[in-house]
Amino acid sequence: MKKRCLCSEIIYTFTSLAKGLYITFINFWRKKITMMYPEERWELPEGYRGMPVLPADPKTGREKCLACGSCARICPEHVITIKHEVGEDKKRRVVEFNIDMSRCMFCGLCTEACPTKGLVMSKNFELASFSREGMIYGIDDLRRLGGVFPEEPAKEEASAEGGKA
Amino acid sequence: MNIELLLILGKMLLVAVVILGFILFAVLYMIWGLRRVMGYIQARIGPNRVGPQGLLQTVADALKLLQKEDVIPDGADRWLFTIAPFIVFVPAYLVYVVMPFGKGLIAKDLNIGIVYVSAITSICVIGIIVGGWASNNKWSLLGAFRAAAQLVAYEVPMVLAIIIPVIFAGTLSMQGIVQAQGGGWFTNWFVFRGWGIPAVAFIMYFTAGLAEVNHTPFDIMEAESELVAGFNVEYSGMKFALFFLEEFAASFTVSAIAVTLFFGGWNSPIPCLGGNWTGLAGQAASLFWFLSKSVVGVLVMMWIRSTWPRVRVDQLMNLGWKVMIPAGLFLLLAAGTVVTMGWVKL
Repeated sequence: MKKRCLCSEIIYTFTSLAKGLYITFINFWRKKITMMYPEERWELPEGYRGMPVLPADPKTGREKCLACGSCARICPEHVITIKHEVGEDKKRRVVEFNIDMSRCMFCGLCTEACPTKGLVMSKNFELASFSREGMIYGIDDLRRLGGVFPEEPAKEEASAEGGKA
Repeated sequence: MNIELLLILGKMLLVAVVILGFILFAVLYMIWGLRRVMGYIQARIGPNRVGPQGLLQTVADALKLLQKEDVIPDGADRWLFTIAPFIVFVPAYLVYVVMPFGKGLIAKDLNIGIVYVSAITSICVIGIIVGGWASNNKWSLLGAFRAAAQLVAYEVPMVLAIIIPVIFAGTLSMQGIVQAQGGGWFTNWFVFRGWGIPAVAFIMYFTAGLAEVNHTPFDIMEAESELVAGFNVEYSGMKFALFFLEEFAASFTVSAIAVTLFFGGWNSPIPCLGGNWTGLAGQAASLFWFLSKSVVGVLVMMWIRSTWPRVRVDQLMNLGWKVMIPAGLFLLLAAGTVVTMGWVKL
């Protein structure tokens, strides 16, 4: 550092101290970046990978799952277990669809493997539970959290965007 | 005879309880205010959940500290370890005896008030050293050593700065110093008079005061990044709360003494806003002005705390011995000359 005379040293000291105070003063009035979380929420982007769910098809009112087991096979963590039964109309129907969310890593491979695109990633990320058993979501939970697929035109748009990406 | 004695004792007790209540209340909301102000400066919000705007946050924290186990470490000197927080807190409490809260609102207007203040506040350091030594912990001992060096170094410039308004006022009594600045506009306050000599003295007092209450940028005795927490590493529960209480009570004291000595104490800045009121209204106005000026001082300290970095030990000592003390002596000489030659209208 350049050697200064005493006077300029004193002036330099006080101006630099004042500069620091000025910066914090400006900061005091700045908009706060804290989000009051449970009351305020993020706007999650399209394609956000939250918990996988089984939304109902608006035409049939049932989930689109064929119980083929692709999702269970492709899952790197073996999180999904499926049981099915064959109904009187000779169609396979899923009866048990368990996802152990404590091990899920939200890779989304299950939704990509799904031939009917009936399994989708929701935007639900609040999965805390008091027990390990509470982290296992059964088919009823997946139906309830999934809700209903959006109506046809909206769905086509979404899939077209997905295709481009 | 006995009834008179009882009355006096009752009055003493009442005053003591009122002052203690004031300290507790002030410290509770200073801690809350510090956390909010620092939060705002760091672009976050700070505690705002417990009670409206988080006003009850510190109450909740104090209740939590009450429930904590009171740990005395193995190998600590139990007797000294227990007594240290009280040695620290009691002087910080006793200073409020001569605090001029308003017109006639002073527990005891000692004729050597300001000497009493500087004498009593320096007892705190004994408690800090005792606590640091008794903890049997190298960090707390280092913190106590630093505290001793720092407080001894800054005691002298602080007293030198205090003498300047005493010379201008011609009295050591707190109310006398306040009255010497009263009776008119804020231009009567010492900072705006005497060719700026008291203004420089104010800067010196404030700097030394920050060092005395180990406030940032002079908090080397509890430097978190080097000494964990300095002299109070081993303290927990209510003993830690007492140290904390002392720190904030002393911060308020520094601000209040600065207001008394340099910023007109309880005098209102404008005569029509309570300066020439009489009776109860005048007392209330003087209390209001004293408290609001002190709060501004405390806010400035919080502002400084969240802005400036901590100084190094050698820088601190250099500033104390090589800058502050010579400057203080020079200032004392200047003030004495100006007053004896009659160049300043008193």
